[in-house]
Formats: sequence, C-alpha cells, structure tokens
Amino acid sequence: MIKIEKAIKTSSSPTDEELIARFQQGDNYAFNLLVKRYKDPLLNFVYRFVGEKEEAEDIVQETFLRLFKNKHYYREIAKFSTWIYTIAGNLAKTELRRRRRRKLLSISHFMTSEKDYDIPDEDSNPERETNTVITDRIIQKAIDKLTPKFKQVIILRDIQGFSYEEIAEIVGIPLGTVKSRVNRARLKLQEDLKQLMNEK
Amino acid sequence: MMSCDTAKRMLSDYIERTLSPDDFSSVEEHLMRCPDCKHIFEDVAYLTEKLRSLPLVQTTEEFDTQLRLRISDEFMMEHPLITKKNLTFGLSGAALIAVIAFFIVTTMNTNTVPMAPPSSDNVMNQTQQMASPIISNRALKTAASNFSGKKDTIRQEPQKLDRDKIKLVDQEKH
Repeated sequence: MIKIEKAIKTSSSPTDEELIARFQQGDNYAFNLLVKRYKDPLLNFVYRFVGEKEEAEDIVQETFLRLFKNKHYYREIAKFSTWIYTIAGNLAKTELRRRRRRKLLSISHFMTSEKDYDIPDEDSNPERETNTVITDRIIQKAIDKLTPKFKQVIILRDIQGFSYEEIAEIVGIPLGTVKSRVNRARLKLQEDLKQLMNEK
Repeated sequence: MMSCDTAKRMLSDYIERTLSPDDFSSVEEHLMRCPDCKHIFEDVAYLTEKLRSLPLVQTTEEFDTQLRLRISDEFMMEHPLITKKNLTFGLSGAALIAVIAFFIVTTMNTNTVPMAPPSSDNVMNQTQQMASPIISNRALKTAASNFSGKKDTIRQEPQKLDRDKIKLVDQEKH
C-alpha cells in the first residue's frame, strides 16, 4: 500500500489533527509541515485523476491555498486526511468537468463548420503503444477513460491504499456504494485492457 | 451453482480475502467450472497489483515557492494596503490639514502687522499691509519726516528736565 503520509508519521511527530489545530491557532509552521507531509501523496492522487502532472500540481497548490484560507472550517469530527483529499478530489472533478465542456464546445465548433473532420481517438487502440507489456502509460490511459465516479474510488483504493471506510468519508457516499464502485471499476479496467492482458 | 454475475459481484472481496469461508469456497468452485470468470479474476488480480506498484510522481522543486507566492497574492488581494476606505480617510485628513494651515498663516499675517487706520491714503497701502509684514516705503518716509519735525527739548531747555525721572540702568535697584 502506498500511503506516504502514514510512513512519514512517527511516534514522536505530531499527528495531522494536532498540526491543523496549531495552524488554526496561528502557527504557520504547522501549515508548512502539513504541506510537506501531503504534497506528494496528493499529487499522486490528483495526477492519476486528471492525467497531467502540471495540471495536477496546480490543483494541489489550489488545495493547500483553500486549506490556508478555510482552516477554521475544519472540525475534528473528521480525519484531516479525508478532509484534504475531499478538497483535492472535488477540485480534480471540477477540472475534468471543465475539460469535458471545452471538448464539447470544440466538437460543436467542428460540426457547425460543415467540414468532414475525422476526430482521432488516441485511446481507442492502446495496443499501438506496445505489443507485449502493459506499461504504466497504458494503465493511466485506461484510468483516464473511466468516469470520474469510478476513477476516484479506484485511485483511492488501489493506488493510494485507503480503506473502504475512509473512501466513503472522502467521497461522501455509503460504504456499500464504495465497495460496489471499486468492484465495477476494476471490471471496467479489465474489460478495457483484456486484449493486452492476453499477451502478458 | 453460483452465477457468473454473483461471482463477479464478489470479485473484490475474493481478491482481498474478505469473504466468509463459505462464500470463498463457493467462488472457488465457480471459478473451477467457469474459465471465462477465472480469466477475468486473474486479470483483475494482476491489474490491482500493477496499480499498487505504479511509480510515484513527486512535486517539482518550485512547488513550495509557487505555493508561497500564491498564498501571498491571495492575502494581498484580501488585505490590500490601499483600500477605498483608507484612500478616503487619507484624502480627508490631508484636506483638513491644508485648511488649518491656511487659516494659521493668514491669521498670523494679519496680527503681525496692524491694520493701518482708515486714512486718506489710498487702498493700495492697506492691501500691501495685509499681504506682507513689511511696511511700505511710503509709510516709513512719512513717519521719518514727522519725527524730524520735532524739536530736541532737552538740549534747548535743560532747566525743564526732571532729573529724578531719568535713571540710568546701573542706578536702578534690583
């Protein structure tokens, strides 16, 4: 399991909840420690979500900016990690929606220009990438093709290593729905990559 | 016998070993008889492992600096030094100081040089006294000529001098 933030914490270091409490009382050093602790795990989560590193880094910065501005909204009834991942996840979903709108607009522009455009679908034939190996890039492309609701849970579960209960808190859906979504997301990935899987 | 759909619904629990022993056995039994499902289960187990071992991406070296800049920009936008309120307050203060300064300057000028009594002299003389503490040359000449017309009574009539009224500085008792 890849949970960097858990690996960083030792028995002597303050917990996330202690740090956010200190930050709420005006200790900016505590904010710096939270940034240090979460910037890479959040980047991995968002990068797998949006598929572009530069965009992902921008979203992670926006996440910390929101944390800085809205620190008093955090209440200790929730774990800090689920709170910060919820913010990052929502920002990533907003970015995907924005992209979809942009794509739709550009498609409608092509339609109205009455020209016969052949829109290439780069994702439709991942076999072109390689004949034998399922590379990280191919997996990322398969993740990109999932709808946001499946993408979010499978990243949190299989890449970030969160428990089903934590995912339910982050996404804000019942535990049973999380389990069902993770299961279906895994089956969708397998369906998308099954031809390559036969060659493995 | 378990259906394929039921087996697929239990896929994640089977891979993660969270099924009850009875359900686990039922799935195992189904997989032994259904090569399609067995294939799918093996693929998903492989993919799940691949997802867990994907390389980690790391933030760039500029990340912290950029974040600090972004936070300070945001802070400046929310707490600008020149606000409308500050600007109004500053301008009002400056205007008030200017009015007070003008009042003091004009008052000092009029007090320093007493107004000449209304005379047959022209208006020009009056306005000059108002504007400047320097008495006009014409006024000085008039005063000098008046004084030169007076006689020196002490030299001409020394017997009229009351000596008691004249005391030198060093003769006075302190």
